[in-house]
Amino acid sequence: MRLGRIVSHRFHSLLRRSRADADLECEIDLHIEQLTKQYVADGMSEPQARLAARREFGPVNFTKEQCRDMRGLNLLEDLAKDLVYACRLLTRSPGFTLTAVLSLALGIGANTTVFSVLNALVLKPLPVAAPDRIYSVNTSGRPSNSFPNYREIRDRNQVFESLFSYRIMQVALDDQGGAHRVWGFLVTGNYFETLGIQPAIGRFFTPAEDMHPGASPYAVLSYTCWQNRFGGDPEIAGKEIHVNGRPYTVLGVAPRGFHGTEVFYWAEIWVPMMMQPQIEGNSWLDSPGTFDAWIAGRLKPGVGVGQAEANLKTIAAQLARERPVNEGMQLTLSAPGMGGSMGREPTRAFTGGLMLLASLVLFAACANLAALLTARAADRERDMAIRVSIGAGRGRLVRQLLTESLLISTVGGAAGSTTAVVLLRMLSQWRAPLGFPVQFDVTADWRVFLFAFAAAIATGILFGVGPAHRAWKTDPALSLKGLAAPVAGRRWTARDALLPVQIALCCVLVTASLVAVRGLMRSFQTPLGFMPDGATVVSYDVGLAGYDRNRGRLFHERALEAVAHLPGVESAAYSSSVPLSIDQSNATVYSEKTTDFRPKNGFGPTYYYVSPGYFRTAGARLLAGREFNQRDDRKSPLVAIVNRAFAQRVTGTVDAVGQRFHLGPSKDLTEIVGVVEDGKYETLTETPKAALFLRVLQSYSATNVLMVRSRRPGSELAAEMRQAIGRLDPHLPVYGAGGLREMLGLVYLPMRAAVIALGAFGVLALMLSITGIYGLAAYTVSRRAREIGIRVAIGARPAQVLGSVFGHIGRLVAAGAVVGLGLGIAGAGVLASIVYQASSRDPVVIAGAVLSIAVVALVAAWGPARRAIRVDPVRSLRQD
Amino acid sequence: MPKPSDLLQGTLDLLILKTIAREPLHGWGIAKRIQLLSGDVLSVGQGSLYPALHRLEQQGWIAAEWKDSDLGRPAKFYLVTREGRKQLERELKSWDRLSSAVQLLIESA
Repeated sequence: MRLGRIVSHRFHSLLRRSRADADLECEIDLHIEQLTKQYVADGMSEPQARLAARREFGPVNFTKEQCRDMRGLNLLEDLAKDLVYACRLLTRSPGFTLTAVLSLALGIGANTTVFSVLNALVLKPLPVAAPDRIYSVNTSGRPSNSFPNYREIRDRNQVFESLFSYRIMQVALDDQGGAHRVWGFLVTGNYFETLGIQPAIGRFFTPAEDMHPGASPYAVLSYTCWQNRFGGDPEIAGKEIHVNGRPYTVLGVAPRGFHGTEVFYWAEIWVPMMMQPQIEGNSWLDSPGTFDAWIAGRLKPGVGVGQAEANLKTIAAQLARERPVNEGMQLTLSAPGMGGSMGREPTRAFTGGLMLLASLVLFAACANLAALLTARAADRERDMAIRVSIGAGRGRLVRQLLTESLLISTVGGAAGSTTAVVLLRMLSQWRAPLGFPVQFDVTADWRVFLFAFAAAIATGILFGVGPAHRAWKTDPALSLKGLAAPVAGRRWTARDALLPVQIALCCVLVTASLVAVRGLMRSFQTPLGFMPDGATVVSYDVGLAGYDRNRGRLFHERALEAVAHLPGVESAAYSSSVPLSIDQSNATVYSEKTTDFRPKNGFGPTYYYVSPGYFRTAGARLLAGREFNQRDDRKSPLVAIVNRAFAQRVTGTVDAVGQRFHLGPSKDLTEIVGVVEDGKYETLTETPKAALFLRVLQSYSATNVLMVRSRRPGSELAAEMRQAIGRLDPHLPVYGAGGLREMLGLVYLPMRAAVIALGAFGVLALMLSITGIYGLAAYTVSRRAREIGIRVAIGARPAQVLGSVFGHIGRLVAAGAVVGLGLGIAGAGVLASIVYQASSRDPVVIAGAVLSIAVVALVAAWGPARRAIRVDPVRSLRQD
Repeated sequence: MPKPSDLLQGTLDLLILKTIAREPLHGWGIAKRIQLLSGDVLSVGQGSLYPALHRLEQQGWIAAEWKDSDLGRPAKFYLVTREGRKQLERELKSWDRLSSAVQLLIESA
């Protein structure tokens, strides 16, 4: 190991440095002594000989230095010296250091946080074996297909090693504290073996244990469920638990950190798919028209996505020929984790857009620091020139300057990643108030730290290169004469470019945050088709308590009665679900004359089962016809209330009352008795969609949302509603209780996230701009104090002084702002992926951005301007 | 006495290794020996000798120890290590190649 020896030698000599130096001294002394002796022998006098020997030997110190270089000592030692020197310099100007470290910490912190979210949502693979081989099978852009189709695809394909199906479910799970609503997955028996994970304890169920409907009452618990609900009972495998009031046997516990294959959704329990009829109350395992089964699988080794999709295309065509309901079905693959391709693209665009904007913050911070450092370097020019003229290598100077900037960036990076880790921990623990286990693990992993480190080093080099370049070009002769100071002829320097760059970046970020805020404001003003304010809801699912239809219907009515009589309630109603909640269903509707019931001949409105009084309670305006009443029951003809979009689809006008349609492929006709205004049903961004409201008594829904309208606060009322239901059945889990506005949190979530993130970026950018403008202004004033003094001395008025000093800076800021606004407008596409209805052409946004830049410029230049006016000509001219 | 000619770049390592391959020597001794053996044609400047010695020591080709010397006080003696001997072989080979090439060129040009 030669290298090892060299390294150890170096460290050795570093440690014994003084000894080695003494050795060298002796060695050289000896040599000179010998030379002297030789000259004496040649006949010189002692002093003459000594002198001649010295001359002959040459510059002793230079030789020593070279020997030290050869020992490789200097590299390490220089680094240590550079570091010490850099530390000393930085502590000597704490203002500069604080500004630099802080702006970098903010820039790197913001980037690390965003990167970590990107990492968690898009980059981090699922915690399963060979995750890159697992793919979701999307059906015409959605993750779900029918279970009969799943079986066909599983048996006919030649590209999947194994294909499984799964379905999000909610169940009532009895633990030590009574029945709770718990979220989980119904999964086919090959689920665990396909994913290739190992149980923490016990075992998983197998395909053989998922053969016959209702015959496999087995459950697998998540690690967290086992710990939190069963106290980590080591004997849990084999024990009986109660799911929806029925006995199930726990087979095992999933490994820690495994929450299923969806990134946002953390399952607590897995049950074999064949238990679906028992869990959900109605079986769709053999129903070709119910598209509720999600499909994913592991590709065979060596099979590419293209090849697999070609195979799926063939199968889709076969299935479409065999069953009309499959007509037009397209099967595609996507990475798993976000409802197939449905959630993945928006998420990728959202986090990608944020990442881009965050990197702009970092660039702004870099530009800022580069400007500060360049200004400092200019002040240190004389110092550099002296060092060059007494023999310091230019490389050495550059190394020292780079050490300085890297030190700043490393400290800033460390501070930034610490901030990010704290933020991320908060974000990971935060749970959206959605009545749905939306949670994602964004805690930092090695990728995040690697990213932060790389960002720190890159920024250090980026903002350190300018000053270093300047030091490289230092010409001692000119600098010492004071000639390297900005020469009048050269008005535009590299430093001048940095400020506009920074202002432009700031402008883009401010525009982005204003667009986000406007978007959120607009989304609050978007007509929802109902009035969430003043409405309070409580949900439950009688299916979880094992009720049948008749008991369920009765219970819904009794619950309605109970909450309708609570004090302060103006009206009350119930429905199977409310618009914009996560639970939305679609029916297929055919016009009255249809005889060929194929999906392409009908259309698919969102539907709800509602009680009389629903529209009054929800605050939805009826445009024609009437509300449901108590006479619309199971004995009367089928009736429906539709929205304007539905009515127009059927009749071409709003007045569709009396028209009839087929609900699903059946001969029965449903009559429209009322038309209600359009609203938003699945997302805020959707275009008007057809919606259909059916009389709940003419059908049945086990899940139920009780809604009351009142002036009393939602939280107070929700608690009373909970209690009222609890009095009717203490074992029924109640969830989603609160003001309807809060319950709609999910639809506002991306918008809120965008406002918070972009708002933070905007504020950071403004802070950076203030320091940037202030830095340049203050520097200009101090640099040109003498010139200002002369101007004042020959009678310049304050306005003229300011004009001459700040005109240049003003032009730079204006140029930056114009470029930034242009970029902001051009970059609306990126913003559109983050913000709903992003429009940077909005005059309010443009005015806001211009105004904030102007205010920032004024604030930043205020101090230096005052100083410029107060320059005392006598004192400034005496300087130096 | 004509002025000793400057050393060809890169041959200093070879000369040092060759000189101390026979017996360990101190810096002064090495300089003298090179001058002597080359019939006063070659001279090693002190400014390059000591850095070269330190570099070779750094490379692990030579080692040093302090011993009593003929100069009346202890001196730092350099000796060739096993690695150094291999290096000497390599340097000799490349020197042979170089000098025969130069010879060839001079004769045929």
